Parts: sequence; structure tokens; C-alpha cells
Amino acid sequence: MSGSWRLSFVREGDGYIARSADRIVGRTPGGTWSNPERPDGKERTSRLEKESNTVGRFLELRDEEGRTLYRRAVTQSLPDMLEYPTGDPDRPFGRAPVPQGKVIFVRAPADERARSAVVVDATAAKRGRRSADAGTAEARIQKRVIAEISLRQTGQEEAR
Amino acid sequence: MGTSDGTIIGMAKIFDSGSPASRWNLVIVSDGYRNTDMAQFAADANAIRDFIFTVPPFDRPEIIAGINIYRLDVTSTDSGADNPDCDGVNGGATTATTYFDSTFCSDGTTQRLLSGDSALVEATVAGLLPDWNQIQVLVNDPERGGAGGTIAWSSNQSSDWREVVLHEIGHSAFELADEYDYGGPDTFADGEPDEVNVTIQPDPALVKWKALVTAGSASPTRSNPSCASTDPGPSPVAAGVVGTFEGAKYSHCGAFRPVWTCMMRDTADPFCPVCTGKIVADLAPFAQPAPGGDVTLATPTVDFNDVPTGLTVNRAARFNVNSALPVTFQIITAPTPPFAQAIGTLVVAPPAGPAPWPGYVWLQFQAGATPGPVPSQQITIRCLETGEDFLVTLVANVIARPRVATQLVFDKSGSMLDLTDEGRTKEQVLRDAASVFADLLWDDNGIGINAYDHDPHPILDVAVAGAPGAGQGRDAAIGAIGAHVSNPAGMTAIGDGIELAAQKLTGAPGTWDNRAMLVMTDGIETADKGVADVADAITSEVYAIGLGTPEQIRPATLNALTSGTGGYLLMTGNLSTNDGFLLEKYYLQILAGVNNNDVVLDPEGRIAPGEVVRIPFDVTEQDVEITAIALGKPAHFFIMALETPAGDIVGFGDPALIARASPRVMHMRAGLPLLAGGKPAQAGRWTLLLALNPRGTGIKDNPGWSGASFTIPYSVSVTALSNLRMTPALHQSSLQPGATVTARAVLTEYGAIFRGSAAVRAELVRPDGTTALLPLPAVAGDPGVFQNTVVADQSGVWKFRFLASGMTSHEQPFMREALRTAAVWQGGDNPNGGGDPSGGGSGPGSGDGVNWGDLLECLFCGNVIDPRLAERLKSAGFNLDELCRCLKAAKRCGCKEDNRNDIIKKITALLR
Repeated sequence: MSGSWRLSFVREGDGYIARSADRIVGRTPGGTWSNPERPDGKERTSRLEKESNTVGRFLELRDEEGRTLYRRAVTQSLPDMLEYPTGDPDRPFGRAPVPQGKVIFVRAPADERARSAVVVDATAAKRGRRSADAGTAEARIQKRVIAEISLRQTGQEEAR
Repeated sequence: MGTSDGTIIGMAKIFDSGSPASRWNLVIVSDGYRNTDMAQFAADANAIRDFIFTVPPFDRPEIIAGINIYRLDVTSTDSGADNPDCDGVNGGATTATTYFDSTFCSDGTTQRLLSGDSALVEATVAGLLPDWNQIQVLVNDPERGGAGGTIAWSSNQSSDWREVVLHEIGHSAFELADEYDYGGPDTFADGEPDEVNVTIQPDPALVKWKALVTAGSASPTRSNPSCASTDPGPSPVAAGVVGTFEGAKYSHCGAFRPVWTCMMRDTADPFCPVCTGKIVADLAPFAQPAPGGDVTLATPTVDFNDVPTGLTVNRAARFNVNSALPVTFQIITAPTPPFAQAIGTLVVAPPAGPAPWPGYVWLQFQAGATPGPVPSQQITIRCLETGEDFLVTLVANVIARPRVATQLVFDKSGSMLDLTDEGRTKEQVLRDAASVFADLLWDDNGIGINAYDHDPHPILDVAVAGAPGAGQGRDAAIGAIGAHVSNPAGMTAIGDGIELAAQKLTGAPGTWDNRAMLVMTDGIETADKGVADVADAITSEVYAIGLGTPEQIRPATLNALTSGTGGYLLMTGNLSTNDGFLLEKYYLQILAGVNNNDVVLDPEGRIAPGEVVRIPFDVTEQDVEITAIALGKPAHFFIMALETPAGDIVGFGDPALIARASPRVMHMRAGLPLLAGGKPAQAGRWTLLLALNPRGTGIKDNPGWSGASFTIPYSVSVTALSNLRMTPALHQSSLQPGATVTARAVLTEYGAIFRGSAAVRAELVRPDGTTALLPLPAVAGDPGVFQNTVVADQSGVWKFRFLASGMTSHEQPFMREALRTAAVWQGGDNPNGGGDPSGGGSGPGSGDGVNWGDLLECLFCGNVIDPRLAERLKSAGFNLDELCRCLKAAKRCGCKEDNRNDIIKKITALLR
């Protein structure tokens, strides 16, 4: 494996839709790879299952059978709100919804086995204050694919 | 507004860590800067750059090495940004025509939300730098504003705009959550957030950053007393302590942050340890070397040239690594004998200084017994991080190790039975020192022995030393040395000894690259042949040791002879109790010299049971082999080890080196680099460790063992076969007191001019025991030459201990030592070797008025002795003819007057 995909998404409604996928030679920050093999040949224990009880927004690479190869949190990269400085010393930051139509870019590793990149929203159905039981929390997580890009190794993309 | 409202000037790289394909690339883009404002934009971009690298962890070398920063210069028609004044505080809307259409109120309602055409920004940047990671648009406007994101926006004139930029990078580049607690519901009601720096888990023992918790077990570390407002504090723990602090991710309660405050909560604070860890982990892939340039092979050929027979040497394939992180090399196609991998197939090379730093894969070659070329081999070494394969060719040839034949020449005249002030007889001093010489011989050295009194005495023909106990020359020599006894009636015919030694060396069987004899004497020549008689027959190097004072030995001719052959003469003077190792040191130094070794250092002292003496010494890349030697009285109670510059301990029994012990001396000898603990060790500060084994067999039999202050004397030497050499020499203007002695040391590297820096001095011991330090300044215009002079105003032996230290041309510290002696005595310049010690001159009537030589010759060779007495003497075993021959010989060589004590002693012994 070498290089990355640069994926772009467009803000639409309360989510994002896929826009483009382009191959670049640069690298991608580390994420979590599925067990047992990473593309570089090093074995590691999968943490994908451990992460499945958290809420947020994730980018996943999936193979042709739909299995998750790689996952990385992108809650901050594909945000629902944009932060801005207020000038108020008591509340120096404010947040405003991401404008419709805004284009956001994220990177994904160019794994030859990957056939698609998907953005998954994981949300908690409901949780009482200070309840932090991981076993029950996992059961409450709801996942939804909000955007998917078909990855062609030629560099062409197919968005939907 | 748009691209018609400005010009793209170009992109400049304002911080360069390497190829953009392998680095994390931050691009700073201008908007609202007019052509005349571009200097300001450059200053603003530099301000961000400089600020980022002051904030941990961005100040770490391994992080800096992963980051490039670019500046995209784009001019706009107008300065500033559109300002619709959507909050009505500015007194009306204004517009500015800028390239990227920056505008406040970019969502139509939020005044400070400043952004523009992000798609155009991305397209513009990607056209110049496809591998961008983060884009920061700087808008030249005095009003505070901005927007986060992978393409972030910020105005450039608020007091904390740089901190805000870094906070936003924390979000978009490293997925860090906000840790402030306003702007959302009072109580956080979502599930466990995916960001690493916020949680709903209050228990520090269970929280996802539990490995970093330092706050204790209270759960949470800090609970917000009111969920309606921000916790006013104070923090129950010190700043920076990691625990669980309630209030984060826009809520006062229900969500927890790792520390009381952090850059992601308040931009005035540094990143907390949890955020720091995430930044470091995310940037690690960018600091790793990239294919096609970050790792290059500096030595396509590893050359094991001219390896002496039997020697195993290590050489490295060297790579230049442009990385702040370790790289791993794997030998894909392994070498076959006589080549081998020195450490293993996988070699991790850690960063070694600023990039590019050298990474080594060590290889080994074992020279066989037969000189000649060796077929070359090609191996493949892969860098796992870059996936690149490198072809390395191994070449070698074996040469015959320069072999040295040595011939020891012992004085066995009767005066060798005299006691020295040090307590042993001269004969015993000789046996002890010569035994050390035999112990330390290289296995392929040759050794022979002969002696002389008034006649030559063959003892042992030159034979290969061999390993101890192998029954070869070394064993025979040690036996012969131990059995050596002096002749009470023997006189001194040094020439006889030298002549025989020369014959033995010339006729020594085998091939020898160098031949050297080591002549020891304790008195003046009193019989034929003299040194002068045989000087023309000498073809080998001659070294000489004079055991006594100049007045006793009159070494003028011997000194001239040794100097003429490339050797030198060392004098002991009167041995005192402080000179217990002196003769051993002389022998040791001469042995080192004939084997092209230099003495690195040569201290001595006393050691007590339980004490560990640490003796540091410097080794350079130019050193090929080192020998660490510990002389003791006795030595077999010593425990000896070497500590490498990396701190690895190499014990006496380590198979990586040769280690031997005898009752007189222990030594460890190793080719360099020495593989210690799997790591190659060479240049740097080594330490010789010496201890006394309190359980050593027989140690309690030593006098004073039960005493609280029991100690054993030791003398340590380290010698090196090296391409860095010091050649010291003493030149005397005369042999009489008042002579000017020039001390001169010449340093060379690889046989050429010394290009390093050095300080050279000589520790001087005068004949009366007083000392002085003689600095030897560098000789102007003569690199590597150091010289000074001293007036030898006292009669006797002047001992010079040359000491050089400094830096080699490769900037590595080194040290060298050497001993030399000068001798002056009354009458030393007299052609006959000196007459009266007190006043010079010679001949009848000089000195105390008695010409003892003439008197004795008259007494025994004239007609004074009645034939009847002569017969009685003969019947008693007295050889009157031989005595006359000796007296005449002594007279001929000019020594007879001054060696009267010697002659009288011998005659007395004969008559006894």
C-alpha cells in the first residue's frame, strides 16, 4: 500500500453526501485496521470492536464483501458545526451550523482491497446522566451510513 | 469578486522537512492582502510557523521532522473581507474585492463566522501541492473572525489569532474535541464520544486515558458543583495532573476532560498529555522516511581490504537516513562464509544526531589462514519503512599479518645479582619483566633468547610464540626466563650478546616482516666484544634497556646503536620502591612498538579488596585492535572487564575477545569494532574495570592480608594497533650535564599528516626525583609536530612521559602515551665513554688520583704475582689469563677506570 485517497463530501441537510475521490501520493494519519493483517504486513489486535460502543462520525474502508477494513473517527473533520472566535473572554468560541453546500476533504489510506469508503454516523439512542456502563451502551448505539464513495483503483470515483 | 479580483503569485516552502509526499503539509493562504500587503502576509505566515514550533509537542524533533509549511501568495484587489455587519455593530455593511471572497457573517447570521470560497481555495492549493493536509486561510482584516475545518479561516490581527489557529488544527487535523463546557446542554446526554480527549466515564481507573492518569482514584477527580455553570475551581490537583474533570464538550456536567485545562479548553494553555499523545501518534507516519531519497545507501561496497590472517573484522554498510524515527533494515539475501551478518537479520537503527544520520548494518569477515583475494559477494538489504531494497557488494582480501621476530638479550654478569633499592635482585627484576613480555606476545610473534657475560650464551632459538600451553616458543621462553641465572664471575661483553642475537634473528626460520632485538644490560662493557665492535653487523631494530644509572652503564655507544636502527634506549636509573613496574613497562612498551601498537594510557596505583578501579580511555575509529593489560604483584587475583562507550560490560571470558591471565599479567585483546551485547562498539570513551577477587586462591597468604589497609599494586596499560600514531623522540645536544634535551612528538593519521587538534605535554622526572610538566607546543608550519626543550642540568636519567590528547580529524577524542629517557653523566661526551664521573676526563691521575684499571692490569698482568702464587691461584680455579684478557679489553673500550666497582667485585668473587 502506498498513497492515499482524498475524499470530498458536501454538506447537505444534517449530513454529508459524497462528492469525489482522488488518489494522491501523500500519507494518511493512522486509524484502526481490521484483524489480522494490516496492509504493511504487521499483525495487530483489532480494536474495531472496542470502538463500536462510541458515538460520533467514522470513515470506514470496506472490501467488496462489505467487511470493514479500516476505521477512523472523523467527527471533527466532517463536523456539523463550525467553530469561530467570538472575542468574548468568558466564551471565546462560538459554533454555527456548517453551511449547506460546504465542501469538506478527508484522507483515507489507499488500500488495494478497499472497494468503498463510507461515512457512518454512530449515535446513542438515549442515556441517563453519568451512566457509563459500556456493555449496555454498545447495545444502544445506532449506526447509519450517511455517505458512500466507490473506490476505483484507477482513480475514478463513483459517488452516491 | 473572485479570481478576477487578485493574482496567484506562487507558493513558497517556508519550513522544509522533506518531500511533500511523505510529510504533513500545512499551507497558509492569503486573502484580502493587496500587492502592497504581501510583506505583511509573509510576516504573518512566519508568525504562525514560528509559534507552532514553540508549542509542545510540535517542538519535538520527531514531530518537526514530519511537517512542511508552505505559503501561498495570492494578492487581492482590496484589503480585508466583506463585512455584512449582520450583528449591526459596525454601522453598516462594507465590501472588499478579494480573490477567495472572504466574508464575515458567512452563514448569514453569525458576525464572527469568517470564511470564503473553500472549494476555490482547495482547487488552487491542490493545483500546486496535491498532497496538502491542512489549509489555513489568513484574511487581512482587523476584526476578529474565523472558521474551523480542514480548510480553516482566520483574520490576522487579534491578539490570539495564532493560538486560535492551532486550536482549530487540533480539531481538523487530530480529531480533538473541545473541552470547554458552554454552548451545549447543561448536562451531556450522548454516548461515549469517539474523540480521545472527552468521555462520559468519570472513573479514572476505567477512563480511556487511564494509562496517563496521575490524579489518584477519586471518581471523578473533580465533579462540577453546579451543572448550570462552568466549574469555578480551583482544581483539586496541580496543573497538568491527568484525571477526570467534569465539564467538557459544551456541557457543564456529564462529560469529562483529562486535565483541569488544555489548549482544547483554553487557547492560553498547552496541549494536555492526552491531546499530545494523539498529535504525536497521528504525525508519526509523516516523520517516517519515505521511499526515493529519505534512506540512501552510502556504501554500495563494503570493503574488508587487507585483513590479516586469522583476524575477524566487522565493517558496516552505512545508510544515510533522513528521519526522526528509527528505521529497520532486513538482510534479505544473507552473506555466506567467510562473510557473515554481525548482529542479526533485522537491524533497528535509531536516530543518531540530526538528520540525515547514519544507520549501520554490520557485517563480518573472518580471514582464513591463507593470504590472497576472496571472492566477492552481493547481498540485499531492505529498509522496511520505505520498502526499498539496496544491493551491497562485499569484497575482501587476506594479507599475511606482519610478523615480528624478537630476540631477548639478557645480561648475566655477576652484578645482576646485586639488590636494587626496590628490593629484588636485578636478575629477578629481569626475569619478572621478561616474563610479562613473553606473556603478552601475539601468537604469531617469534621469540628467541640469548645471554651474555664476557661470552655469548645461546638459550633459545627464535620460534613462533603460539598460544599459551601449546608447547611452542612462548612456553619455552617462559621456561627459559624462569631458569635464567647470572654468572657471579661473569663480566660484561654487550657486543657478544648483540652479535649472537643478530645471528639468531638473521637465521630465524620462517618468514618475518620485522626483526627486533631487546638488549638488557646493567653495567659498562668490561670484556670483548664491545657494542662498537659489532655495530656494523646489525640489520634489525635494536632496543635496549639500561638497568642502572648512566654513570654505571655509560650508554653512549648503545644509545647511538639503538637510534641508528630505529629503536631506542630506555634507562631505569636506580630502581626505587616506586619503580615496581618500571622494567615491565619498558618491555611492554617495546613489545607494543615492534608490533606497531601505540600506548593509549599507562596509569598505576593500588587496589583493595572490594574496590573497583575505573580507568577511562578513548578509542577512535582509527584504532584497529586494542589490548588492555593489567600488571599486578601478583595479577591473578584481579577481576578485569571492559565497559564500552554504550555502557555494555565485556567480561574477561567473553568470546568476542582474547583474554589471558598469568601470575604476572592479565590482558584482554580485541579487534575493533567489538561486538558487545549485540552492538558494535568502537569509537568513544571506554572504561577498564579492575577489581580484586577477595576469594582468589592464595590471596590471604599475602603479607598484610588481615590488615585493614591491604592493597595490591597494579599497573594498567591500554595499547592500540591504530592508524593514529604518536612517535616520540628525545634528542640530546650532548651526554653531559647541561645538555639541551629536545622532546619531540609527531602525530600521524593513516601514515599522513595529522589533521586533528591535540595538546601534547611531557611529564618529566628528573634524576633527583623531582617532577615538572613540559608542554610541547605545536611547531608552526609543521602539522602534527610538537616540540620543546629542557636543559638536563643534573647527572642521571631523565624520564619523559609523553602525553597527547585531543580530537582526531574525525572529531573523536583520543589519547596516547609513551615513555622515553635521556641520560647525561659527567664525562659523557668523552670519546672513551667518560672518565671521572665527578669531573670528566680520563686517564691516569684523574678523579681520585688512582687509575684502578692500570693498577689492576699491572697487578695481575705484569710481573707482580709470583709464579708460585699464580700456580696456587690456578689450582684454586682462578683463571689469571682470562682476567688479564678482561682487564685489557676493559682498557681498550675506555671503561676500565670508571667501572672499578664492577671489576673489583668480580675479582673479589674470583678470589673468594
